[in-house]
Amino acid sequence: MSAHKNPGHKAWRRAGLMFGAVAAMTACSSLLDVANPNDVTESALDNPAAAANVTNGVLAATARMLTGITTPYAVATDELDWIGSRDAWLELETGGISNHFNEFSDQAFPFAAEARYVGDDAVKRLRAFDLAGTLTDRTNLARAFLYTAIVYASIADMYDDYAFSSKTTAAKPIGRAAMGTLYDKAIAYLDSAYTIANAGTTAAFTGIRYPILAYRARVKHAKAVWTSITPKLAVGASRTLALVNDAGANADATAAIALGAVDQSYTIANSVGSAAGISIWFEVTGRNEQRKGTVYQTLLDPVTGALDIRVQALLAAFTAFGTQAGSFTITSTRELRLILAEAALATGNTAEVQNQINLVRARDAGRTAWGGVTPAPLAMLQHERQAQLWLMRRRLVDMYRFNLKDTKWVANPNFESAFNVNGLLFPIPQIERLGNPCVNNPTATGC
Amino acid sequence: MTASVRVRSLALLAGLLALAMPGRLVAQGTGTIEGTVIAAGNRRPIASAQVSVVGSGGRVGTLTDAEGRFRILNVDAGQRAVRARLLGYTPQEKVVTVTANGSVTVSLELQQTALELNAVVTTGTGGSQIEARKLGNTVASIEAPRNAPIQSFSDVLQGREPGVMALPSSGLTGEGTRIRIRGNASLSQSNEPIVYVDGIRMDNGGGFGNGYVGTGGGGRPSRLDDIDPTVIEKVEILKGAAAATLYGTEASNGVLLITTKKGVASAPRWQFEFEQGAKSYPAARVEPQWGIARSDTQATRLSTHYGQTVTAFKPFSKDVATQLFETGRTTTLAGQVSGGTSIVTYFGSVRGYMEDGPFNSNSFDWADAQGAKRGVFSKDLANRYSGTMSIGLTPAASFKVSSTVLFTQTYNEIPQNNNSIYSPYTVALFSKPENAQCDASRAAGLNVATNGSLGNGLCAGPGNPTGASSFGSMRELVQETIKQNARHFNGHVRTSYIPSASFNLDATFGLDFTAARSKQFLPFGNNVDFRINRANGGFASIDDRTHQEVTLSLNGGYTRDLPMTFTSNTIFGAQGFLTRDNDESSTNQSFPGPGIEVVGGGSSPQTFESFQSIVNAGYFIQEQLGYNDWVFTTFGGRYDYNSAFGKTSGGVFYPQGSVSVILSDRDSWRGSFAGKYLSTLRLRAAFGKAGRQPGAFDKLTTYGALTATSGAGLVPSNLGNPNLRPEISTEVEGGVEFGIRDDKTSFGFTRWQRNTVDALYARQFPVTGGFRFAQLDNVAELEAWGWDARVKTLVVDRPNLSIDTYGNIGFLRQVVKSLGGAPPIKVGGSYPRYRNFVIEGASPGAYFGAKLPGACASGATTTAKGGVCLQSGQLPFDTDGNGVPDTEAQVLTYLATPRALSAISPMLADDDNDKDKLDHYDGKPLPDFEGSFGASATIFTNWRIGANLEYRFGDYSISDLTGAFRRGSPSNGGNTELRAIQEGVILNPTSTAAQRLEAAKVNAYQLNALSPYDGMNQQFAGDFLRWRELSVTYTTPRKWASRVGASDMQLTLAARNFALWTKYPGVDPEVNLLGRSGAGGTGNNFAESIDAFGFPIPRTFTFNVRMGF
Repeated sequence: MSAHKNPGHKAWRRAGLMFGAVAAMTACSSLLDVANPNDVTESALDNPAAAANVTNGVLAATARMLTGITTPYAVATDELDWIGSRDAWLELETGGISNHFNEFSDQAFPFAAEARYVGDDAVKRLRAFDLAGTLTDRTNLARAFLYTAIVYASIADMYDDYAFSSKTTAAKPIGRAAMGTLYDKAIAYLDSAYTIANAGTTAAFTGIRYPILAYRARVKHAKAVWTSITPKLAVGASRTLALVNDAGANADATAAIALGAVDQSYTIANSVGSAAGISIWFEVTGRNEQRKGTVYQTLLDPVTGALDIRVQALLAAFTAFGTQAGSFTITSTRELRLILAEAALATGNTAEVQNQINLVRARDAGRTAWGGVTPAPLAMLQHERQAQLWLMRRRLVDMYRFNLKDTKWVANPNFESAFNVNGLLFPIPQIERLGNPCVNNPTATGC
Repeated sequence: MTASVRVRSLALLAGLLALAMPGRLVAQGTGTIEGTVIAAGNRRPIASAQVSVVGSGGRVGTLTDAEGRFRILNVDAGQRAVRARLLGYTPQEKVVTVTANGSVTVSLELQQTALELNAVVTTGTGGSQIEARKLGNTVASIEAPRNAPIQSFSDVLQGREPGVMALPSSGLTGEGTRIRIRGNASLSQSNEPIVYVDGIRMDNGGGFGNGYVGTGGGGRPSRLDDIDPTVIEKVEILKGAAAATLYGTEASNGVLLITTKKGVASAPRWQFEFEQGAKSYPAARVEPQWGIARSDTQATRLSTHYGQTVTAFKPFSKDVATQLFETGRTTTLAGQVSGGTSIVTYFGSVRGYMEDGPFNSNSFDWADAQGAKRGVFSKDLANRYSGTMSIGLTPAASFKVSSTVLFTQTYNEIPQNNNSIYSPYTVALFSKPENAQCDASRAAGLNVATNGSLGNGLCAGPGNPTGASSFGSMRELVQETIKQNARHFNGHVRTSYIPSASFNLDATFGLDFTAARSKQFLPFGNNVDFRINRANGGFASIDDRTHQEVTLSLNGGYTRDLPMTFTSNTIFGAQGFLTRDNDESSTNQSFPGPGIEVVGGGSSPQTFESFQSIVNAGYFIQEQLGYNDWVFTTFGGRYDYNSAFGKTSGGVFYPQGSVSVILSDRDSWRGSFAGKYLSTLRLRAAFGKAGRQPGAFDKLTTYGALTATSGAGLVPSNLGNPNLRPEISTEVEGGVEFGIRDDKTSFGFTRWQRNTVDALYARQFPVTGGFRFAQLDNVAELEAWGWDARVKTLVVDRPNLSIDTYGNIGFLRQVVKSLGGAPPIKVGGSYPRYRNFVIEGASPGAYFGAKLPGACASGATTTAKGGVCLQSGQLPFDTDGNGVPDTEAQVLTYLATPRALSAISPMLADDDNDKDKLDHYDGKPLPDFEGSFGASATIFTNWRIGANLEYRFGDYSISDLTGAFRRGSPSNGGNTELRAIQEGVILNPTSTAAQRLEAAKVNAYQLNALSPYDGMNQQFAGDFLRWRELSVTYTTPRKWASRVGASDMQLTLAARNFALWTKYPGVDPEVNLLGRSGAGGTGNNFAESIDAFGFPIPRTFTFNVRMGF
């Protein structure tokens, strides 16, 4: 051992130096503090300069939500027919929409939840900026109100229940009976939006008034429709017809029509790359999982007896979008006139029904005017709503309130079906049930 | 400090340390030692044995040639001990006297042994080595047989070591295996081991990038297969935390240590190798596509189309899927040279491997109406060109510099595959022959009377002549190509300072760099049959991934004798690893015309980019105390830092300890009772901890970009968790090894137990909270235990015949002990057909699915919890929709008229009445037992035969999704013979109600699958025995070799995946949904044993000629 004593000591000293170097390296905090250029941190949203991007995020999330939820909704109605390979579509196609394991309604739901959260969050942030005087463009706040209202109303249109959780904090579902409050919240947001839009004078402010008013009319009408199909009926029971005549909806519809062009509509487009896993464009025109409903492809105009020109145009326009992106009609002057027509029918004012429906029909060359008698006003109203509102997420509730059944709906031995449960809407799906203990146990601690 | 500056700093530090080492040249009188090494038993020469002069630290030595001869030059004059060693033999030493300028001859005889406790293994990063017998933990060492049919690194691992599974995904050309060591140590992070090549951290990923290039899941290349298997000296496997503690964070799934060949002091030795191979898929295991004509009209049309008589309601079949099979070819050319002096040694290697695999799409290149063929079709190619160079410099006895550089250029091309609706094989499997259709109306000049059919199952023009499922015709689908060009570099410089035999210091700088460019392409106008609507204008996607691993390692060792016959061996070190991963991808579609193949040529571009940087650094120390050279205790630990926790977090300490007692090395052993029977006996035990860190940015709450029509927007991305910490695996193992018959027969047994606490779990919080993605949380606990056993014996060891056999078996049991209140995870999210779950109380990845109601208990009308059960006389049908199972009479009434099978769907069981009908346990995806056995025999002096068989069995369930579609889908599949028979019966107007009832029962109990019957008629035992390797080698007489100028020559005929025995009804129990990926996540970890339309594992035959010069 003695022969190696000196070299060993030198070596130990060298080892000490080496360790010192490495220890210095590992202690160098900058080495351990790597950058993340992929995303922004949440704190970046606190900057008022991000207001427009935050608002755009709400719009993008809303568009993504619509690409996600519209497909299962449309398959469950007669708007789309399933022809592909994935049998969970068949469940929806046959009216089995209450299966909370259904993979497609399960996939769609998180995008609706994301849009709701990001909308409320944006409203909160922009309101704070506004109060602090740091919001340089108040139309961003108006837009945030409008988009979030669309999200709220769309959730109420489609779902049987909902929970308002926040990040990791679970909230218990509010229940079907309270789902109407989502329409109320949407209306309140639209009120706020309209106040801002009305206060400004630039084109940015005036331009947003039509969608706010028109959509508020639709939401008020939708709330009334929802009330008419709630609660869902027992198996096999039929619904008593309750036409909507909502003063607020009528007033907003009238005001919006006055603001807009003769054939105005408000649309939201999704960008390429913002599909929600199940994009209606790809499903129908790319993957061939669905096709446009046979009912619609063969829908005859009850006035002319020919294929309905309006429906054919809508179907063609859908195809023209291609496989990746397209736009959704949120509301339109045509829908507003049908709201007014329904209100008139509810009061027995058939002349006004005829007037409003013919104003709608006049928008398409070849759709001759309806005489007001044949078909009967109610049937004509039903037809026009079917023809004008394709893929606008109104069909299912219209089918319920008019006691219509898709010919493909059947009773399902394993779960409730729209075939025999009038008013059945989509459930809170499995992904939320897993992550939210309050869904299955609303009385649990913390719920 | 930028990352590039950090890299340069690390390099500079390594260089400075290298320069700081002193050196001095040595010059003495020298002589030569030459001789032979033979096997003591059979007297045959031993090739590739290491022969070295003891005390030279391996600097003075060489390898034996094919005839066992060696010559060591420049040996210092004097009395020298020369030692010969080779894995599988007991080393032998002899003392010779070397004279200056003289030559001394020595003959060494090695005794073959089945127990190799004296083998030197690597312990600790940086390459510190120690004898295996001194460690209380196992370090498995793999050296694949030289004549085994090995074409890739994946082949090296398969069927060698219990507890180590190399799992293929499919048989697609170029695909790498996933590696699982002792199951799953993590629920959310990668379950792949970390990999080092000569001490340098290596990219252990794979696939085609994270962007827009998608293959369907299979066929993913492994970056580990970039390693030329012919340059691997050995692979050491540290199976878990007990052995891998010194590798710290990321080592809890084990560590693979690859050591490459190095030069030895000798004259240049050349070796060339040529190999030609053939590959084929097991077509006989693929059931043909069956169908029935549902009317006489349809039967007549099909008769015309196929040129054979088709009768309504009578099943007929066509082979559609197997038309994609052909005999593939492989060619290997390789050359190696090694040699050197006592100062400089070198090793160089080049290898080219070219494979045109057994997939063939030309059968579907039928002529169009103009008589032209398309001519652009996907292929399966894998070409790997590798070069390796290793240099060792020993300018002084105390100073060494070594450097090794490996470079591989890979080209890979495959078709779309696995669970993809655009995979030609998938669509072919699901073809329904009765749906064959030619489209006369779509092309002028076609015979409308025959609808464009050529009468031989093809169309004169557009159409779907095979009845391919709904996503495109076969001719359309085979036009897509997926390609990858990858360049992989791994290199290092290591300086060693060895001032004495008892002390050493090493400094190593290494770099592993991968650049992989992948491309997916579908040409313009691909919808030639008007079936596919994916992107009729074509599309192109590219993905560029670069991955960089920088390793800086400093370590040393100090060995000394202590009082009272104690010895001490201290190793210490520090390492830093810098990982950077960049992925850039873009895609575009709708080209304006044919010929364009670039992304820029489309009209709707999308881009993707991701960046990740990880810094991991730490230091370790380990002390080993020996007593009387038969008792050894080892203890130490590693302290680690990781950038996943940022600069504000402290490090993590991972301790370890072990004890090894070699009772047979006691002086009194030979005279003891046990010593009469056991030639060797060792007992050992070890414990250790290792970890896994979360992703680089998992702790942060982030928002990502999402574009709206009004401009750039921000939406929630990562929920974030500032309290994240690494998950810790603690492993305890104990074992015994013993030998009998002078160690000609050996047994080994290891029992291990692993507990992972603070396990990182991808917890799904309420999506109504706004963040869709699951968030990592340290909430789970995972427990696993198992054992492995091995036996090896030299059955015969005579001059004209020697036979050795081996067998091993591993047992694995693992359970998700707790999810900490978090909800279970289902693999595949909403997609219902993957039935693997991570759920408390079950094995990770266990299957749960639907089942039919069982019989009610005596006197009961429901299950104990109120679910549906079948009372006497009831059937699992509910034709009247009243929620009560029908009686047979009710069903017969319902089936009085023909019905579609889908109209008589069965009821589902909900035994626990929790409204979840898909929660019935269906088994687990990894077997209880796996292992291998085999033998090698040498007959006379020239023939050598080797065989290796691998098996898995015991509570081993395979999810046969392919079969579920083929049995149960009404639209895509539903084409087995059994299905066609039942459809023929139930739809036939001439059938009786009773016949239809039997068909309905067969449908319910054997065929019905997919939503909402997911998991039903889908799970099958996957037990199998596969003859993995078979080889016959003939060593030619020397005169044959000399005719081509060689000194030796071997001819080998070999087969890989030679035979398969299994009751699994699918094509191959080893096919799996997803292939190689270095990433974690539920899918990569637990989408396991899912047969989802993958190409089966091919059988390979090779003929190899190897020559030495």
